[in-house]
Amino acid sequence: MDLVEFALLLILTGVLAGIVGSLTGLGGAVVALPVLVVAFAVPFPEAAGAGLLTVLATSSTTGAAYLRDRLSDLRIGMFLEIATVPGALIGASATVFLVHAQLSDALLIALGAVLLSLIPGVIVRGRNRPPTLPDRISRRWGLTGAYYDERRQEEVRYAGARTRPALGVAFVAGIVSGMFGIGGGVFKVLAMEHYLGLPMKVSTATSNFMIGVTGAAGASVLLVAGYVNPIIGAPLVLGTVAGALGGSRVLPKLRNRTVRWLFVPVIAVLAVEVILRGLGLA
Amino acid sequence: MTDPSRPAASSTAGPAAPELPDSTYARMALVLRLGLTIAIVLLAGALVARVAQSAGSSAGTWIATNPLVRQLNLQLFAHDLLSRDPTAYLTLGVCALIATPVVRVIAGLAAFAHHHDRRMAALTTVVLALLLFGLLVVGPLVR
Repeated sequence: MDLVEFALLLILTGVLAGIVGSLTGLGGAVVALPVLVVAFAVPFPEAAGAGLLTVLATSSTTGAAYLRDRLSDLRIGMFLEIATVPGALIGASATVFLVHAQLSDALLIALGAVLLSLIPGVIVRGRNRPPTLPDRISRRWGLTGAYYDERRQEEVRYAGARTRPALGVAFVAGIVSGMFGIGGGVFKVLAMEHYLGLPMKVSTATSNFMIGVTGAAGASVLLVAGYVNPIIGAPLVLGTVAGALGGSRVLPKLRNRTVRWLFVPVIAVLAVEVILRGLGLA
Repeated sequence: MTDPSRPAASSTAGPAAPELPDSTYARMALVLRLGLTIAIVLLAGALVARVAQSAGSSAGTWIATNPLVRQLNLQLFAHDLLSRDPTAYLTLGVCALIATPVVRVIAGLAAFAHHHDRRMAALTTVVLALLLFGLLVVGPLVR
C-alpha cells in the first residue's frame, strides 16, 4: 500500500471513529483500534497506543462542545476520575507486561471479548428509570446538577445515588481503558447511568469529558514504554477530530435510541474479527 | 447557569448542587480547544512534511518504524526538533494531545480552589498527582 493511500485510509478510519465515539460517549477507539489490528495489521500494543490517541482527540473535541452546552458535569467527572486514573495506570502496566511475555494474541482475544461485552450495555441504556435520591457521599460531595434538554424543551435535574458501586465500575473502566487502549466509556456511562442514576445525555457528555484524563493516564505509560507510534497516530487523530466535531453537533438533537443503534452492528463485526485475528484464524 | 428564558425544571431528582459559573466551563472549554489546536497544527504540518519526505515508500515501513523509540531520549528528541525532523514534531503533537487533559485537570483545580471548594480541590490534586505518578514513575518502571 502506498504511503499517501495509507494516510488517507487512516484519516477516514479516524473520521468514522470520531463520529461513533462522540455520539456514543465511548471515545472512538472502539472503532479505530480493531480496524488498525484487522485491516492494517498494526501490532496490538501500538494499536492500543494509537487507540488512546483517538480517545484523547475525541475527548478534547467533544469535551469542549459539551462544556459549552453545559451537558458535562465537571464535579461528577472529577469525582469518578479518582477511580479511573489508578485503574488506567494498572491496565496499561498490565498490557506492557503481557506484551513483554509474548501474550499479544491473548490480549487480542480479550479485546474482542471486551468489545462484545460492551454491546448489551449499549442496548439496554436509557430504559425508563425512576428518579434517584442522592446518597450520603453524593450529598457530601455535591454530586447533583441540571441541564436543559433541547428535544424535550425542559430543564432536567439529577442527583448521584449509589456512589460506591459507581466508583467500583469506574475503576474497572480505567483498567479496561489502559489495558486495551479504548476509552472505557461504556463502563463510565454504566457507572453514571445505572448506579449514579444520571440522564443519558449527561452520562454521555461527562464520559466523553472524563475519558481524556483516563486516556492520558494510560497513554503516558504506553508512551514512555515506546508503544505510541506518532506516524500511525497522527492521521488517525486528524480524522477523529473531524468526525468528533460533526458528531458532537448532532448529539443534542438525536433520540437516545438512534444513538444506541448506530453503534451496535459496527462493533459486533469488528469484535469478531479481532477475536479471529487473536486465534490466528484471520 | 441555566437560561432564565427556558421553561422551568420539570423533573426529577433532588436539589441541584451549587453550580460552578459559566466562566469556569468556558475556561475549561478554552483549555481543551487550545491544547487540541496546538496538537492538530503540529500533527497536520508534520504529517504533510513526513509524507512529502517519504513519497514512494510503503505503508509497512511506517508501521514498522516508530520514531518515538529514539525520541524517548530527550537529547536526541531535542536534536531532531532542531534539525526539523518531521517525526519529532509528530511526537511533539502527540505530547500536546496527551498533556491537554492534564492541563484541564490543573484548570479544574484552579477553579475549585478559586471557589473555595476545598474538598473538590483536594480530590483534583490527588488526580493530578496520580497522572504525574503514571508518567514519571509507572511508565519508566514498566518500560
